[in-house]
Amino acid sequence: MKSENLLEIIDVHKHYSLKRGFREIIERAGYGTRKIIRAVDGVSVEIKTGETLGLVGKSGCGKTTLGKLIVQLETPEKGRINLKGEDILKLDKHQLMDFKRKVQMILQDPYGSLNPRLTVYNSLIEPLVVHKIVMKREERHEIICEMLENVSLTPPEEFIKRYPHELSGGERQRVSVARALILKPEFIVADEPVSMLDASIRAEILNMLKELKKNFNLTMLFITHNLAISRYMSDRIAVMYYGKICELGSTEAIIRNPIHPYTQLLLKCVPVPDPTYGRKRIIIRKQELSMPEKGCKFFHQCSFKKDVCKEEEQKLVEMERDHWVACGR
Amino acid sequence: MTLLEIRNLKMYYQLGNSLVRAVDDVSFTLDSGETLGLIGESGCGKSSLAFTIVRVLPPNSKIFGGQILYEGKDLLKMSDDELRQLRGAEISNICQNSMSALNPVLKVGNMAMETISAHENIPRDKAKLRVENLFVDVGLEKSRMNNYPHEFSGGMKQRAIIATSLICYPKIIIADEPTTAFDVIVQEQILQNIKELQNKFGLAMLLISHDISIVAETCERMAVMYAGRLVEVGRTVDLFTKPHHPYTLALLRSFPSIIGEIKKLSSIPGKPPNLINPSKGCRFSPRCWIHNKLCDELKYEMIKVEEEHYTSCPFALNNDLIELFDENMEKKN
Repeated sequence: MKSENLLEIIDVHKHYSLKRGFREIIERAGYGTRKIIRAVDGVSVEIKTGETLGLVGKSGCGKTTLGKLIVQLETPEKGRINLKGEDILKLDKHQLMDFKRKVQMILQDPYGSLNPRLTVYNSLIEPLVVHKIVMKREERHEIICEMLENVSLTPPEEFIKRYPHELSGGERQRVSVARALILKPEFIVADEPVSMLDASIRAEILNMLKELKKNFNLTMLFITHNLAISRYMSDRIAVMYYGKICELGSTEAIIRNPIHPYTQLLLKCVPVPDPTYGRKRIIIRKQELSMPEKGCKFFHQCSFKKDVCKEEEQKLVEMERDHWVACGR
Repeated sequence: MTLLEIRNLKMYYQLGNSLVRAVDDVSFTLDSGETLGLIGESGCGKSSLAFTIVRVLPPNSKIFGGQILYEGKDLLKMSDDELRQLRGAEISNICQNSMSALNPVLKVGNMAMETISAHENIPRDKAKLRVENLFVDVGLEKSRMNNYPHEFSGGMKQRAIIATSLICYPKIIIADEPTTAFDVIVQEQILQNIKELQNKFGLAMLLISHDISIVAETCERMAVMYAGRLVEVGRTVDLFTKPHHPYTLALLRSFPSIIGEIKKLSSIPGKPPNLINPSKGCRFSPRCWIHNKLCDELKYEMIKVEEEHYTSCPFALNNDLIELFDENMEKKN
């Protein structure tokens, strides 16, 4: 086992079964055969110590589920997740506590993820209390103030007594970041941390995350649907399509030389903030066809499809150095 | 030819005893067939402006003056009945929230038919034919007319809404963040679709967005809005290459791109002002990076920079903003 990998995700599956609708219950149609959503369907990826892995994909492709699996908010049906070579699914109670200190998550919605009845101080003290980090009140106060300064909520004395409704969206997200970092974690899952924020505030939060990552020696999984943001933040990018990773490589390789047809399509659709650039617009086929039962899930829209693609699903293959693609062509 | 002209429009919301100045002294024009992009952060009054044009406003709002001239007629002087004839038939809306804009108990096709029957007196089968044709134009199958909204995906609902809003062949369409809820591929499809239909019917469009990359690609002209006021108006290329308002430039530099080298994104410190009793002078001055003493007393007016390019910042005229901005960034680092 290589020691440079902080986190290894090996062939992880997470399936959700759909509830049957009213009509199906009445008609007893499809009894016993529940429809299954394969949210994460055999994902293997390694995250090296100190790097930022960007996870991109359209909504509903399983990005967030993968993030939740890593922080153990969900348990996978199959597969292993190793943190520093240790299987996190087989931890006992004490080890789990320690694991949850090391791995933290920043959530998407700063309006929903902070308890409206807790002041900033109480929100931040909670992790310290749960993990029994520091017992003295003065020390806790000091740690919290220091953390708030780190996320540029200055002066901290002014912010600690406020409730979430007294903060703007950007300030709330800063509190979320502070709460995630107060336990000095090693690994952060940032799930679309800026998608709800305005452009001017977004840049601030992104720069801050970059800075904090450097100062705290963090490793990060950065989940986003915006390729431009992913490019700005990450060292490597993984592109996800319906529960599977279809391309994985360094940011520059993915952006400049995409190989998987889905990544190519995705990149051609990203609008460019420069009116003189003159992006070539492509005509996209209709997406109304249902998902193929077997074989490549991108089959219907792919312009390079072969007969093989219809039958078998492709595995990730190293096409160039450190550039992995799951495509049969 | 100028199709829509807005002059010194003021629309405030009553909130308790105070007024929220959501649209404050806004003037611009929209020519027939052109696309004007309206850019701004959330809460700056973009949507309020759109709602004021067609006067679909909540009860606590009041228009405090100005003119909305559509083909020479003032919409603000029209009665509700007259305006109702205009909405949908001449000026139409594509709204932001496609998920809740369709009536869940009506078949999607019937909703479009309803729009026709409200404005025109034509037989049902002819109306049906028209809906069918437009459904094909927006990329939906004809048979989909008989489906209910819950049977549609998000992108399809948005297409159905576009079809419904175009059904009476309006001259102006106001698209309020038409693609915000979608991923890039669906967004691309919908924008292409709108563009095609625009060319086909010769529509003028006011595209409201907070994403400058979309405006850069789809609009010939753009207007930047900040705290209820327009701060810069001009051709998109001019605003991108030689911006003449510090806010415009700061906004441009806060957007990541997938082309070119990766530059450090700049942010705008501070937050937008409260629109209840905003400060007298320039509203951007507390966050501005070329701020000086005179800003707080500045009278709001649009100053001509060049042909078709106006700014509200007199201090940006003589300086090379881009050079100044880069110097500023370097100092900070």
